[in-house]
Amino acid sequence: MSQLNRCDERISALVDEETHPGETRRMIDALLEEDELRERWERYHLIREVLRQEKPMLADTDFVSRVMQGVEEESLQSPPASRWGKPLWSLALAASIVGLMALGLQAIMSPPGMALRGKQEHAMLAVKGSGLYVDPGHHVPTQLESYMRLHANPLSNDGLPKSGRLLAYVYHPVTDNAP
Amino acid sequence: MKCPTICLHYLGNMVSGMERSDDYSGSTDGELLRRVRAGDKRGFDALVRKYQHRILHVINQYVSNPASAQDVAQDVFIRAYRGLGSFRGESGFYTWLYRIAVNTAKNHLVSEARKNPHGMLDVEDAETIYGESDLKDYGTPERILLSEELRKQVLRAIDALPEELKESIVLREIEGMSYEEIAVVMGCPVGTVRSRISRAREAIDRRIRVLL
Repeated sequence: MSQLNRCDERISALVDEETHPGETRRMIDALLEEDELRERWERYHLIREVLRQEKPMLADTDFVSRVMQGVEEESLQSPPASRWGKPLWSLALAASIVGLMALGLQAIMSPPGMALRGKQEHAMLAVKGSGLYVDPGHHVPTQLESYMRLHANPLSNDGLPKSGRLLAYVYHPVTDNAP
Repeated sequence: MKCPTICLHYLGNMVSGMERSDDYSGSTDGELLRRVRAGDKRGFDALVRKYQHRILHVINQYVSNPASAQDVAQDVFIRAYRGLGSFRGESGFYTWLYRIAVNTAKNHLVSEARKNPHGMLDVEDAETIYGESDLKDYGTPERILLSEELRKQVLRAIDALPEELKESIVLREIEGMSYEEIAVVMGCPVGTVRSRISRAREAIDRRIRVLL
């Protein structure tokens, strides 16, 4: 059997996934090296599609080169190693955003004045420790308390709930007939 | 050819074929992907050559406009290349690629709908959405003609093959049998099956090469 015939047989077996692991690696080496072999690989797969699909869709003749040009442009923008490391970065970024959102949500959901009460208690303990004890029944408004009161007001100046204003901004119902 | 029987067998084999391809380690796709990750883009070139027509066929179920379908298919492969880091080989490469193809095609339809705020859809996309599959076009007239001519030539080439080559290639490509199964059916060694299938492909290839 000639060298060429053996090569034909191996590329055909590679198309069928019927090569041994060592042979697969060797054939892929050859496939990547020889353009003619890659074209044959493409035609063998095309024959399969033609036989298996009732109405096979054929890609344009320059389809592969257009994809590879796009791949080349991708590679120029970011080298493969950094690009394929991207999902981990994206994951970390997404986790940070979710974390920040959770903290924000917690602050919004907590009853107004709760944070203030905590601060007051903390301040009173500190004063107690210094010997200058103030009666807990005696209310001492602090700058922080007045700030929190102002911002805990559920209504804004225009009489709309603040959250409602926010929702109205974000929510834009889209209908099929919308211009 | 006994089409209904063959088609039924083929459907069954397609499913088992997909299951087989899920065994990623040591597979041809796995080896090609290993090369791509090592920086050899020719590995990706080989994968595009292998799956281009199949992916285009998937896209065409959603996007009927031939030019748009080609563009979306191109986008699928570029997205796949970009996202190779997220492919862990838990499913077959084609299964993963298929999911990208469906998502990209759906995104294309959504973006097309946004471009037409008055609800005016492209006639072909409207056919896709409203299920007028019989009216669907499968490509430009030239590509349709070429596709029909290719099919005709492939079938003619198979008809002209010696009986044992014809049986081998039909059992492999249409029935989807493994070399071992074909060897059992034909009562010959696996090496003989391998050689017969290769010779059959070479004969078909000689006939279609002139058309491409």
